[in-house]
Amino acid sequence: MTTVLVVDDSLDFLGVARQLLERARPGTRVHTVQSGEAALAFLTHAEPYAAAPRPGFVVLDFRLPDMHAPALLARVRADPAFAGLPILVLSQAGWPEDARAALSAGASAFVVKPSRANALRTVLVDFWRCHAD
Amino acid sequence: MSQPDLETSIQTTNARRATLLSVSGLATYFVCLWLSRPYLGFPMRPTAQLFAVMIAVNLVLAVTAPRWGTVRFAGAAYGTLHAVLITFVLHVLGGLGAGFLLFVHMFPIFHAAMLGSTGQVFFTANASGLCFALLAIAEVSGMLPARGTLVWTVTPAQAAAAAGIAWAGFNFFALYASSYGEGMRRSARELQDEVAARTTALRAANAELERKAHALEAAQDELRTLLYAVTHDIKSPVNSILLVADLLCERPEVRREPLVHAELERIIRLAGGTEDMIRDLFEFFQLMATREAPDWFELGPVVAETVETIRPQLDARGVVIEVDPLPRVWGERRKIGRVVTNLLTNAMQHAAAGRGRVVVAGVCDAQQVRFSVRDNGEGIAPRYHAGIFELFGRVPREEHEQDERDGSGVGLAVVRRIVEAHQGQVWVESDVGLGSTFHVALPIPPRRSDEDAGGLAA
Repeated sequence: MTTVLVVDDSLDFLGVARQLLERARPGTRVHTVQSGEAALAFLTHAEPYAAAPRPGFVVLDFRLPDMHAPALLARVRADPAFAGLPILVLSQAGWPEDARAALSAGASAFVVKPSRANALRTVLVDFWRCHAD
Repeated sequence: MSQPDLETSIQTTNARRATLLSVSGLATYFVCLWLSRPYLGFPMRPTAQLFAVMIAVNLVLAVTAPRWGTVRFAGAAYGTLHAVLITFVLHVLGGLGAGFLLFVHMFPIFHAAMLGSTGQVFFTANASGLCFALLAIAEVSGMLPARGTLVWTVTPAQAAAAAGIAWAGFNFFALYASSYGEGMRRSARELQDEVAARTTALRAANAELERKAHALEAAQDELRTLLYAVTHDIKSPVNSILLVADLLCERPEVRREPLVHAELERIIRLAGGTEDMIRDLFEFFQLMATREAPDWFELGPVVAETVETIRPQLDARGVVIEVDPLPRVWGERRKIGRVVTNLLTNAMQHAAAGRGRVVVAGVCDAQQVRFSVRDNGEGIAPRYHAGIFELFGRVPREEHEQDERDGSGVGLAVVRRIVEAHQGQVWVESDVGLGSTFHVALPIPPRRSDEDAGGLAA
C-alpha cells in the first residue's frame, strides 16, 4: 500500500488529485498539505505530523504560498534520507526557467499541470509507474 | 559649449584674421607702390625693408593669435602699433606730401574693431591722428626732413589743417568700424545665447523624455506582472472547474442521467474555451517576455515542423496542406515559428469542411521576405479585416454559425504583435465564399554578409 503526499495550495486541486489517485490504485493513501512548511513537517515527522508515514512519492505544486518548489526541493534533498524520494513538480505556468530551476534543485519530473482529468490521471499514473513502483 | 569658450574662440579667430588681412593688405600696398615706382618714384629699398618687417611681425602674430587675441587691450594695442608703423611708412614714402596715402590708416582702425570694443577703436583712431599730427609737427619744424621724391612744400597752417582733417576723418571712420565690430560681436553673443537657450531646452526635453521612457517601462513591467498574475490566478480555478467536471462526468450516477451529463459537457466546453483563451494569452506573455538573438533561418523546416505537430487535427478535419518552396527569413526563430503555427491553425480551422486546402507560399525581393497562408474557407468580409488582428477580435458568430471554428481570439493578435515587433506587416486578402490569404512581410536587415545575401538570392 502506497502513501502519496500531494502539496498544493488549492483545496479543489487536492480533492481532484485525491480522487484520481485513489481511483487509479485502490488502497492508496493520499495525504494532502497546502504549504511548503507543512510538507517539510510531514516529511520530517514534525508536529502535527509525528505519526506521518513516509510517502512513496510526492506531487508538488511549483508555486506555493510560502515558497516555490526549488526552495522546498533544496531543503528536502539536503537530507540524505530523501535523496531517492520521487518528487513530481506540477506547474500552472510552465516557464522554461521554472522547469530548469526545479529539475536542477532535484525534481524527478516537471510537468505543466493538465487541466483535463484524463491527462492528469495519465501523468500521475505514468510517474508512479516510472519512479515509485 | 560654455560661454567663455565661444567668446575665446571668436576672439582668437578674429585676431588671426586681422593679422592675415594685414599681411595681404601690406603685400597689396607694396605691390601698388612698386608698380607706381616709374610715375611716383617712391624710395623702394627702405620701403621694402619696412614692409618685410611688418609682414613678418604679422605672420608671427597670426601664429601666436591664441596667446594674445584674448588679452584685454589687444585691439587698441594692435591698431596703435599699425598706426605708428603706417605713419612711419608715410614718412619714408614722402611725408605729408604723400598724404593721399592716408587712407591706409583705415586698416588699423578696422583691425581694432575686429578685436576690441568701441573704446579701443576710437583709441586707435586717435593714436593714428596723433601719429599724423606728430609727423606734421616734426616735418614742419624741420626735426624730420621730408624724404622721398614727392616732396611738396607744406606750410604750417596747411600741415595743421591736414592733421586736423586726418584726425577728424580717422574718428569718423572709427564710428563706422566700431559699429560694425560691435554688431558682429553682438550677433555672436546673441547666437551664443540662442544656442545656450536651445541647449538648455533640449536638455530639459531629453530629461523629460528619459523620465517618460522610465515611467513607460515601469508601467509595462507592472502591466506584465499584473497580466501574469491575472492569467495565472484565473487559470487555476478554471483548471479546477474542468477537473472537477471531468471527474463528475465519469461517475456512474451521472452517466445514467443524459440531461445532467449533457449540461456537464456544456460546462466543460465553456470552461475549456476559457482555458484555451487563458493558455493562448499565457503563451503570448511567455513568448513576448523571452527574447532571442535574431538570425537568418529557413522557413521551410519551421512550416514542416508545425504541419507535423497539427497533423492529427488536419487529418481529423480532412485538410490538405500544400507547401511551396519557402525563403529564408530574418528574425527570432521561436516567435516566427509561433506566427507560422497560429496562421496554419487559423487556416486549418477555417478551411472548407471535408475538402479543406491550405497553401503556404513565399517570395523575397531586395527589401523584404514575404510568405502567405491561403485557405479555401468562407472568407472574411472586408469590414472585419482590421478587427481580426485585435486581441479577442473575431468574426461575429452569425457570420458563419459554427461554434467549434471559433478560436480564442488571441492567435492573430499574437501574429500581428510578433510581426510588428520584427518591423514587418501582416494583412489579409479575402474573397467571401472563396477563402482568405494571410500575408506576412518581414524586412531584410540592411547590414548582412555577402554569404547571407547569396543564400537568400539562391
